[in-house]
Amino acid sequence: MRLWLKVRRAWICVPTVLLTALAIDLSKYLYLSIPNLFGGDMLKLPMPLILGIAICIVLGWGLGSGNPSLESVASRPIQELDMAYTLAITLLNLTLCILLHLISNADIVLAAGRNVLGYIGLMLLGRSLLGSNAATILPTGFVILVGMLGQNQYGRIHRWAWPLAGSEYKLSWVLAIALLIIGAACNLFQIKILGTNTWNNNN
Amino acid sequence: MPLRTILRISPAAWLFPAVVVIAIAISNTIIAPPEPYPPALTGAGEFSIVLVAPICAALAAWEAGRLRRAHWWNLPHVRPSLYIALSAVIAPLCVGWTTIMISIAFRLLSRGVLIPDLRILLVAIVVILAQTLIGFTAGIWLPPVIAAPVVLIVLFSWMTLPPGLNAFWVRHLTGDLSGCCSVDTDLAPGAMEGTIFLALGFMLAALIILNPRRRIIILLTSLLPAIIGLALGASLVQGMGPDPLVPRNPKYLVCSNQWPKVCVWPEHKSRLLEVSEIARKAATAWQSMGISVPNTFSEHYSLKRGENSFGFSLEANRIIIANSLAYSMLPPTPNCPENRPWIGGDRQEYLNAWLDEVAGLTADQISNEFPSDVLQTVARVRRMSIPEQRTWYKRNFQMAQKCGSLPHLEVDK
Repeated sequence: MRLWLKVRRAWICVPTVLLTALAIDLSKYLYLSIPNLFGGDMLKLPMPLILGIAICIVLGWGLGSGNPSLESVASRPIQELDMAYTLAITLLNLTLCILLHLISNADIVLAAGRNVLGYIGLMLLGRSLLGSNAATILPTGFVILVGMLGQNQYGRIHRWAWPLAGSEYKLSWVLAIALLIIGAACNLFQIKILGTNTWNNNN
Repeated sequence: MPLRTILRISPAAWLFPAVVVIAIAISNTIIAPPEPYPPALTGAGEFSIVLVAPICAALAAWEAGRLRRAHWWNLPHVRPSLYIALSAVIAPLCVGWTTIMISIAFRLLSRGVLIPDLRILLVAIVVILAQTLIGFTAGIWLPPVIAAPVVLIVLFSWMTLPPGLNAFWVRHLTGDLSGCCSVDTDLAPGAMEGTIFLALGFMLAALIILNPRRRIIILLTSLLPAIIGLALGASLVQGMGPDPLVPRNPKYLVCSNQWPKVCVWPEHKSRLLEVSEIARKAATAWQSMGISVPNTFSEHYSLKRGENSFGFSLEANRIIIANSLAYSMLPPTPNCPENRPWIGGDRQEYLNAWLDEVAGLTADQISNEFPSDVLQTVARVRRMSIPEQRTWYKRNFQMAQKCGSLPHLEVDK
């Protein structure tokens, strides 16, 4: 188990979660000025909403760091362990964000915690779709595109743009959790959507 | 690398059409002035750099991942590292440069301009080159699963975070020059030079880190050009406002021959005769009221005695132009101490409305410009004799320049 955790970079992933949660709280008044492709003024994308990408990148790196052919004949259920590890990291981040939200009473911190669920779901989906190497590009590209397309010209957030929504919007939680479940299922059952991808990184 | 191979293996080539579409959409979000002024249109077109440069960096990181996977970079090689790096990133670089040029051309052609502002284009080219090489270096050092997304999100944040910061100087170093320009302003040389210095500093740092021997001394050495680039860049943009602008050189002004002399920017040359005629009528009317009229109305902001500054856009009608000329007749804003504020400032619109009406505009024509109480007061003033109106104007004109005093606007019965 210790070797498995080492291979999955748990020693980098856990500190990353802690540092990201701290950065989310510290950056809650910073925002990116994003062009609105639907016209109108520049959009203000709060910085905490994109910081969760860091967790998703480190997690994606860890998940792809194994040796799939060796792990396929292992006596331990590696895929189930991987998903348990992924969910544990996700829950750790969500718990920290909830705690920080209770302390600071900032809605954006909770929304950032929700986004990590969706980003990790997208990353897992990316592993099935594009392979391990490009998996982390999917949530990164998604958040940038949503930043530019997720609001109309009056600044109203579209329903599908869950990363931009406030934490009080239930649909955004449903979409983020749905992505996490779909992504986890694809990885658990080793579903290759495009059929050409690999499950490990070629580092 | 042969073009065929690039098209077959490079994600840069596959993504090129999508990147172009997004870049044009991004540049279209900037509202450029209606004049065919190359710096303004090039600045608007170049705005897509906020996404194009980080995408190029991410694509370069991906290309570097191939060399990393093959452990190729650590093997001895005859060709210099820079040559190898450039040949590996040629596809992302070409995509970035071509996209920016298309995006700029799109904006220029929409106003019938063929030549871009070469300074802004140079900044875009250097920034894309620098970010691409930074992406390549990240791709050599880190696995592609980390390098590509990290480079994309970090550089995108670098391009879009500074406009939200209170410190203005940072935003002038990113290479986003979309704040340039209106027709009476030009690109601040400091913004161009500062951005290029910073980009070159970081580019040099990236090239130093490319050294296959991963020693701490190399890492520390790489910090040197980055710090020098940042310091030089920051010193050049220090003290700038929210936009990277300086007043435009007045040598480009085109002037009329009749009194009063009217000078406009070359982009407004087509309307010089019309504006001169409006200025002549207004100046004659103001002079007949006993008001001293300057000899020159210029679009260039000037503090010279006898030269008033005004402005208009190509879409402005006769009313807006006459109002702008009238506005130029108002006293300058005094430099008031904090304990004696300029409380008469907001009342200048009374003087402006009166000057408009004297210049021949009707109350209906300027009803959108001024509140009804202003127009009512001015209507009462206009019913007075010419000497009384002159006295009213001169008294309020003098008081409007003082600190802590309110111009006397009530009409003496």
